[in-house]
Amino acid sequence: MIINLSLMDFNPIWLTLKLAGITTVLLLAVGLPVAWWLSKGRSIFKIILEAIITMPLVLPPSVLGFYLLLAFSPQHGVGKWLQQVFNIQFVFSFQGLVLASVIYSMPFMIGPIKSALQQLPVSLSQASYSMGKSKWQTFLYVLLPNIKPSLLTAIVLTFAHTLGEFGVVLMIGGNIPNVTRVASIAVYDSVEQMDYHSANVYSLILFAITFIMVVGVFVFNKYQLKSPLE
Amino acid sequence: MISVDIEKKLKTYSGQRVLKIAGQFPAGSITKVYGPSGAGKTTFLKIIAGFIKPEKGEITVNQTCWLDTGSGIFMPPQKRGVGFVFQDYALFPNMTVKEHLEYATNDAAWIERLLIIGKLETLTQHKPEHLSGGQQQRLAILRAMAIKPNLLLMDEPFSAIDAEMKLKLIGELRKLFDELKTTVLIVSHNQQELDGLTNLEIIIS
Amino acid sequence: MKRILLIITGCLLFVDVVFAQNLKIAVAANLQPVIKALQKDFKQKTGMDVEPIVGSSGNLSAQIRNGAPYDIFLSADMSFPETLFKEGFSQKKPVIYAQGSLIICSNQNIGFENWERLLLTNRIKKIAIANPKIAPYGKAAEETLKDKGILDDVQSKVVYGESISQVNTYITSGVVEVGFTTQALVKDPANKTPLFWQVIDPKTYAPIAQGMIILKHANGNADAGKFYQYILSPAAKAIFKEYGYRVQ
Repeated sequence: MIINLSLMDFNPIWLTLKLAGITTVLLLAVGLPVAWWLSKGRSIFKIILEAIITMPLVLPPSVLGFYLLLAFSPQHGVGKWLQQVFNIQFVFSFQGLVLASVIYSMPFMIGPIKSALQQLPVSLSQASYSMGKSKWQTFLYVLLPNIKPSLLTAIVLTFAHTLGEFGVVLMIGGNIPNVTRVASIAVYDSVEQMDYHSANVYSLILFAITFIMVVGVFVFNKYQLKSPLE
Repeated sequence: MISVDIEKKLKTYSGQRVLKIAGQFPAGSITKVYGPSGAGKTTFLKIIAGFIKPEKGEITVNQTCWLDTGSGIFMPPQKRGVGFVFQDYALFPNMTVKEHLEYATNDAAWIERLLIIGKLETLTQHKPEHLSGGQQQRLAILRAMAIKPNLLLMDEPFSAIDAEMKLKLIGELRKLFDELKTTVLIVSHNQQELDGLTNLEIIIS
Repeated sequence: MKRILLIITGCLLFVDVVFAQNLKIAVAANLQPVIKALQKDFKQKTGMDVEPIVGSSGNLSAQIRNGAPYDIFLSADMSFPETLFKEGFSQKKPVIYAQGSLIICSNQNIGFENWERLLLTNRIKKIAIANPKIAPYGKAAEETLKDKGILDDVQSKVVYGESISQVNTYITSGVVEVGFTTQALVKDPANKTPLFWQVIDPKTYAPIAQGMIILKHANGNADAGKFYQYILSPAAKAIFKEYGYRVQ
């Protein structure tokens, strides 16, 4: 089969990369403090919260999409308020996809980071505190630099997971070109229309991106462990 | 003058024990904390440093109250200015020797002096993974001294250092303690190790 | 323990055999409400159970092409079944069993008398239609919008459902103010949401001729032939009419 790239519409790919990128950045900002908080001590509240955060790992994406659809319907509740006050609608919008992706990919960001923080000896933090450093300084200068491999894994997993998001987008996206028509939807559409050429191109690109990212993580982790004397 | 009176439940193999310690340590004194393994020596130090909270207790340092469980007073470790040398060193894997000390203080002259005392002046760019056990332990000691502490707590601080180096190091540290007027508590389960350095003793059993 | 496993396996196989005997009917999404009535009627007349598989016509065609074990395919148009016939998945040409009726619909009482002007106002923020590339009702919706000269103006408000089922979900849950869907939706007794609707003038879109083919998977299966004839019978036509379809 000949691949003719000149006629291809690459917007779904850009849209997908944009979605994955923004989601990952947001999740970093939200996920780091939450992962840190969860890594310290245990209370029933923390356990429940962690369970809720982990739900998207096992929940079918269509279920999440369904609940989001109902929750943000502009006819009642939050959806109505958003519509009236800010004129935003989360369903059928890029912002809605971002919100859905943040929820859906959260366990991939928080999980590895929290585990890594928990594995750091508590004496590291104690040593930092004894030197007069605040919890925030300790987090920034002592904890974070020592979980780099897990941090990278978390970022890559989050990004790749969002790249592949389909079920949720199918429910609340509305397949709007350049707004919510991401690559995974475009592939599905192309197959349905028997446009196997487009399906192949989109699929190959997505595969290549994710493959390179995953290989990159493995190489980085191996290199970290074998680092020669500076 | 440091006055300590604490009670802490300890979990041991044979169930629970209560660690009860009361003691007074004059300013500038160097006290050996001695006792068998598992007696609670490390816990004792960590309580003073503020890393562990006892069920009951009072700690007063130079008329400042660091801990009073009765009135709910607890000064966080950051404010206590306690230098702590950990039994497992607790070095920061991401920082070089120099960075460890720079994390503690801006005083470049003080850092230089410490590096020479600890014989680490040629290893400043090394991270802990590229230091030998003895070098790591010396770094742990230097790091604790870098903040010019009023109170220094050392948990088995010389276990990886050979006898000759140990003598020299202790000699230098003594001078620093005098200069800074540091009160020191040193944990050891070796009866003879610190004879000549310490002028007080407290036994935990 | 081993005996229990054997018994369970036997039961499962038996169950599987029983189910395998049911006719599998691939049914376009717009027929979801009406297939239930047809199922019931067919069972009453012949005692036979059929198993409907509902999806968008495009999706179902792709599945059939890839070996899905369906006996009969009730599409929402003629082109999907015709393509399957040309590719050899059926020995008989597709026949029209009904004509679809497009409606404009909402879960709010908007008033559809001048719907082509209504769609241009701010009152309507989102309009749902089925993906025109794979759903004939979506294509019809686009045609009628073009006919009224407002397709370009409302394009920014349009959201696409994967199938007419998804369009219906959007309409009934209220995430869109209006949608173009099949009249069968409003006649569906399973639908509990009060809906407001109006039939779209059939002259504004090409007729939605819905075609049926009997697939080669059903070769030699006399029951499939019975169901095929049933769909074309007056009894079935009456049911279709009840659900808003046009029949000969």
